[in-house]
Order: sequence, then C-alpha cells, then structure tokens
Amino acid sequence: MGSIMTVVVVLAVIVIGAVALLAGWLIAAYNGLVASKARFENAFAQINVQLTRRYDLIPNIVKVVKSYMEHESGTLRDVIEARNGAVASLREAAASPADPASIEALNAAEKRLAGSFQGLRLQVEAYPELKANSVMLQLSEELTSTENRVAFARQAFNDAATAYNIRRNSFPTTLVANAFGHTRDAALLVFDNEKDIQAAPKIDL
Amino acid sequence: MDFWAHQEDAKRRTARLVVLYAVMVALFALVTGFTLDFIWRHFVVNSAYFRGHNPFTSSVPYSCATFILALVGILCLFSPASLSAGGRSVAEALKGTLVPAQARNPGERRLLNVVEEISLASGMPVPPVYILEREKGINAFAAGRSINDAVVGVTRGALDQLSRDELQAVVAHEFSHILNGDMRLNLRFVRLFFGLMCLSDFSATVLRWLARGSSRRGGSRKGNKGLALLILLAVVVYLFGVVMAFVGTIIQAAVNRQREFLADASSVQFTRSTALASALKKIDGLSKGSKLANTAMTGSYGHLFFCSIHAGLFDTHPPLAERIRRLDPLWEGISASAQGVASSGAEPEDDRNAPDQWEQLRNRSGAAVAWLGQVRGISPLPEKEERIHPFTADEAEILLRGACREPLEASYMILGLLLDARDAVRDKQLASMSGSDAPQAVQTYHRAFSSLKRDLWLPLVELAIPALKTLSEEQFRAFCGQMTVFINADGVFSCREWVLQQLIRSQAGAQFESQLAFARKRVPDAAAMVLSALAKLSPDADAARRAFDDGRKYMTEASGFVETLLSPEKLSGCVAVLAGSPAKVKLRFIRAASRIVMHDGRIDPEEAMFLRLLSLCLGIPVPPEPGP
Repeated sequence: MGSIMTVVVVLAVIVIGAVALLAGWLIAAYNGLVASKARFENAFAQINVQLTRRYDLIPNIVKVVKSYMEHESGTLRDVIEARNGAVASLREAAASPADPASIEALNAAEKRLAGSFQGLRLQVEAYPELKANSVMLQLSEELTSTENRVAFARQAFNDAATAYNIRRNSFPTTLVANAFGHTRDAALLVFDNEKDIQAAPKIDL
Repeated sequence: MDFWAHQEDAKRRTARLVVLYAVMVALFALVTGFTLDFIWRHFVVNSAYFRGHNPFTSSVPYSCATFILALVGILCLFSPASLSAGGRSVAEALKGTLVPAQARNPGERRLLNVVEEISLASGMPVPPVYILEREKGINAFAAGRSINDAVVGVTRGALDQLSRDELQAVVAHEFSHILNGDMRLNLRFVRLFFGLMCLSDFSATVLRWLARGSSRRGGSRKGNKGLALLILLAVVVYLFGVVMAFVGTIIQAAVNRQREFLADASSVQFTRSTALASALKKIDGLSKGSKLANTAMTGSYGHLFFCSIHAGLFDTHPPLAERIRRLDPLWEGISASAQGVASSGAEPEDDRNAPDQWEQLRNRSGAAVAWLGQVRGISPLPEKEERIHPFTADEAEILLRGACREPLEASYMILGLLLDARDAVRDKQLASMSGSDAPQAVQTYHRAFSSLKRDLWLPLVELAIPALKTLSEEQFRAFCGQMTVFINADGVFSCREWVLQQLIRSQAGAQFESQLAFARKRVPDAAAMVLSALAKLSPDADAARRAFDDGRKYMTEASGFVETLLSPEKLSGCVAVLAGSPAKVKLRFIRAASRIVMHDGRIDPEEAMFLRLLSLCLGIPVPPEPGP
C-alpha cells in the first residue's frame, strides 16, 4: 500500500505542478495583454492634447491671412474644412484608440489637413507683408513648436502601440490572445513628415 | 506620529499574523490528512476505521498533510510577478485613465494641483494620477510596490462631487497608505492566498469535469466507487483551500481596518483641516456611496481603496460611521443626502487662487538647505550675484514651470541645465542634438535658469519628473543618451551633473527597471563609498575625514573612508545597492549622511542637494529627526 501511495503522490505532484504552471502563465499573459493595451490607450491622451493645441491655432492663422487676402478664399475654406474634419476624427479616435478604423480615419484627416495647409503656405509666400506681420510671426512660431510636440507625442504613442502588437503577436501569447479578446493589432499614427511641411516650399522655375 | 515607528509596528504585526496564519494552515492540513486517511480506510481498504487501527500512529494522515503543505508552498513560489505588479499595472487593471500633466480641463487641472501639493507637504515625489471614469461613487486608491513606483487614482464621482479641500484630504489619506507601507503588507497576504486559491481552483475544475463526465458514464460498480472516491478527494482538497483562504481574508481585512484608521489620522496631520470628515460624511449621505460599478476586476483590490467597496465580514475598511466619529466626535450620525452637490465640485479653479504650491516649493528649496539646521539656527550660504539677462526672474519662473508639464519641453529644460557656459563646449553639445529647433529651445531654457533669483533647479527638476515618466522606453533611453553626451562634453563630471543624472534615472526610469534585490554583502562597501563622496564635499581633506568618521558612528557596518575618486557608474551602483536594502539599513544610512552634512555646522547647497537626492533614491521622503 505504501508504494501505491507513493506512486499516486508523485503523479499527483507532477500533474498539479504542471497545471499550476500553466495557470500561472495564462494569468500573466492575460494581465500582460491588458496592461499593454491600457498603456497605449493612455499614451493617446498625450497626442490628443498636442493635436488639439494645433487645431486651435489654425483658425487664428486663417483669420490673420484672411485680412490680407481678398480673393483666393478657396484655399482658406479648404483648410477650415480639413481642420474641422480632423477635429471630429480626433474626438472619435480619443473615444476608442484601440479601434484601427478610427486611427486610420485620423491619419487620413491629418493627411488632408497637411495637404491643404501646404497650399496655404504656398500662398502666404506670395505676400511678404503678411509674412512679416508680427501676429503671423508669433503664430508661425507657435505652430512650429506644436509640430515638434506632435511629432514627439506621436512617437510615444507609436512606441506603446508597437509594444502591444509585439506582445500580441509573439509566441506563445499569440495562441491565447484571440481567446482573451485581443483580436486586432493596434494601428500606428502615420502623419506626413512634419519637417517637410515646415520648410518653405521650393519653387523650381 | 513617527513614520519610522509606524513602519516598525506594521512589520511586527505582519510577522505575528503570518506566523499565526501558518500555524492555522498546518493544523488544518493535519485535519484534512486525517479526513483523507478516514476516506482511504473506509472506502478503499474497506476496513472499519476505529477497529484495530490507531489513526494517530499511521503514517497516512501525516504524509497527506505534508504533501498538501508542500504543494501549497510550491504554488506560492510560482505566484506570478503580476501579483506584485507595479503601480501602473494595477491602475490599468482597474481601467484607470492617466491624467496627462498638461490637462487643461479645470477639474483635472485641480486634481493634479492637489496631488502636487500633498506631494510637497509629505516630501514625496509626485506620482502619476489616474481617473476611474466609469465610477460614479466617491472613492480613491493608491497602488505600487514602493514610493518611487506609486500611483494615485480617484473616481469620476469623487472628482465631480468633492470640494477642493475634501479632495485634498482624500488624496492625503492615500499618500499616507503609500508612506506607511500598507501596500507591501497586503502584497504578502496576496502571495499567501495565491497558493491556496490555485489548489482549490484545481479541485473545483476536477469536480466540474467529473460532474460532466458522470452524466455520460454508466459505469461498473467499481468504476462508480472510484468516481465517488475521486469526488470526495476533490471536495476535501477544495474545502481545505477555500476555508483557509476565507480565514486569511478575514485576518487581512482586520489588519486593513486598523491601517485605515492610521491613514485617516495621517491625512489630518498633512492637511490640518476638517475636510476628511466632511468627505466621509458626503460618502455617507450619497446613495451610491463608495461602491464601485465595475466589481469584476476590483474584487481583489478592495484594500487599495479609500472606502469600502464591499460590506460585511470581508470589509477591508472600518464602518463609515466609526471613521467619522473618530474624526468628529460631535457628529449626530445622520448625513444629509447629497443632492445638488455636483455644482460645488465643478467650480472652475483658477490656478493662481489655489494655495500656491510654487510658494511652498520656493520655501522648500530654502528649507532644503536649512531643515537640518533649523533646530540650531544655522544659516545657509549667501547667494551668488546675478548677472543681467533679458528674462526677468518672474518670466523665467513662469516659462520653466510651464516647461515642467510637457515631456518634450521638460527634456529640453533639463538639457538646458546641463548646457555649458563656455562657447567651445557649448557648441559641441548643441551640435550633437538632432532636430532643427532643439538647440534654440535648450539655449532659451539655459538663459531662463540663469535669470532665476535663487538656485531652484532641483525643485524644478522634481516637478518635471511626472512629465518625463510619460515618455516611452525608447524615448527615455534616447534622452538619457543625450544627457550623457552633454555631461561628457566638457570632460569633467561634477557632483551636480551626477545628482541630476541619478535623479532622472532613478525616478523617471524606475518604471523600466525590475525590482531591486537585497545584496547584503555589498551594503557596507556601498555605504562607505557614498558616505565618502558626501564627506568629500567638505572644504578640505581633513574636514572630510573627520566628517566621515563622525557620520560612521551612526552606521557602524560601513567600511572605511574611500580616498580615490570613484567612477560615476560605480557610485550609481552603490546607491542602487542601498536602495534595495531593508528600511532599517536605509534609516541608519540616512542618519549617518545627515550627520556628515551637519558636521561642519554649515549646510552648503551642494550637500543639501546630495542629501535630497539620496532620500529620493532610497524612497525615504521624510527626513529623520536631527540626530543628538
């Protein structure tokens, strides 16, 4: 009877030990996924603040420009529309940063805004008095520093989102990620290169 | 109220409880062993239990009990690291959203100001702040392994319904949990329970599987008997785990209730107001009270919160009425229901009208120099003459305070601190930066620092730490690399540069490092190195020697005076060793360090700065009483 007992005990220890290890790993994997996701969702708050600041600057710039230009208001209208669209997409994305569709919408809106703003810069180049205007100078300066902050915050968000994607896709967590409800990779924020936008457009004749 | 006495008290109580609990577990395991022996004898061997058989001399019960205990012990060892998770992980598990340092929403801005003020009042570094958006009840929590790892959170209900003073009292209560080490206390309990829960979960699973299986199986008589036996075994083991966990939770809750009273009293000490009582009364009057809507995740975190989230035997908090009565003995026992209270919480607070934490900071920088000497009336060194700069002192302060809130600006600000005055070195430093406007910003901040009336760099850097904590890991490493380039540009490694680098790495970088282990053997040498470095700030070598010997009386295990100058990395390593040592060792070390600084009867700004850094790195925010 003693030997049967020993065998049973040994088997039981092995089985229970293995089960405990598996359970522990499952718990750690689940918590790790939840924490990664929460981290990149929180990182979105940073870029939310910076983008809002940038979107708030744009109507001021448009107002200054409008006072110098009588015609050619098509560009200004474009900029305002693009800006409003971007504000709406930002609000959507802030509500659910984990949803790739809303992030893609934000990317598209930002691209559109950048494009129309480039058109505005081209026009501003043609008005030297506007360029030298003190209010315009101040606003351009603020816009430049905001671009840098946007770039920085975007980098932080992308780092956090990439960390989540890596965790979700690496073995062996990837086996259980779908079961735990993490079905989608996080989308990264891809804006046009802000540096190109800041530089004065080169006109080749 | 001595911070250190409370820590000792907490440790003693935990030790006593752990021993008590272990004894209970052993006894109950023995009981289970006897039950299993009974089952074995009665059902398997089929001989009568009491006839011709003495249960106490048989080996079966004892081996069963040993086996169960060993199993639980092994499972405890496997308790995943997530159980002792850092503060951020806990906050995210509770579904908290981080409040960015640049929050412009007036409610969030006020919350950040309140947290900053309490940090200054308690000398602690400013922790990240989270909001539980979906909770409409009034509650708050603090989590984290250590002071440098701590986070604080409040519910949306608390933010909307409490006035500024009440919010401050609640936050102060949470801070005192952090300071008194209540979180570490609870972690030990949680580890103990993990093993037991694993065991009972496993047997519950077995039971469920058997229940499902038996409905399909017809089974022979022998098969059915085996099945019944297995079920019995599983039930017994399950009961063991569940009962022990149950008893343990009761014990844990009892301890927590005492800690809550202590935290209430500490909060009153920090804020010196009646606001905490009124906050508790508000919770009492509120229909939702402090209950949390999202109880699925919060079940195991009840002890972290300000007010109880589930009532009854498992209540981790004392009854509300009792808490109010201890703070306000004249209370009648009825609170008006809180209607229309929402308006009082929503006043837009002007940053300037709030009790000015910047004033406290400025006074504290002077206090940092003088706190050791205030008992003896020793005055700090006179300040240097100021050169004329385009910035006025006020403009410079406003600019720098604003920079503290943004991660990018804060990193530029710190690089501006490190910028050298000599042209050759400065050009080299600026050339190493990428980014078109970075050199410009760094120089602006350098000029701002030079325009300040007093040397406020240390308080400003401390204020900038929360923003730096929001950097991603890659960004943080890049920033540290940039700092190193700046520091090495002039080829000289000054004490101030080392302090700055160490401060940022230990505070903002703590989230990327794993927990420090206690390296007992290295403590004497490490302590000797750091104390020697501190002593070397004295005017000459003789004075340094004497100061070191004087301080060594408080920490006799430290090795001898170290003559040669150490590399900065080694010094950082020594500080890390000390940071991982137990609280008693740290206390002796800080007392020795304070003694060295006070030896020559003067406190130089450099010495005060070094001492402040040591207290932050070691996680001892409260300066000990000046030694005899």
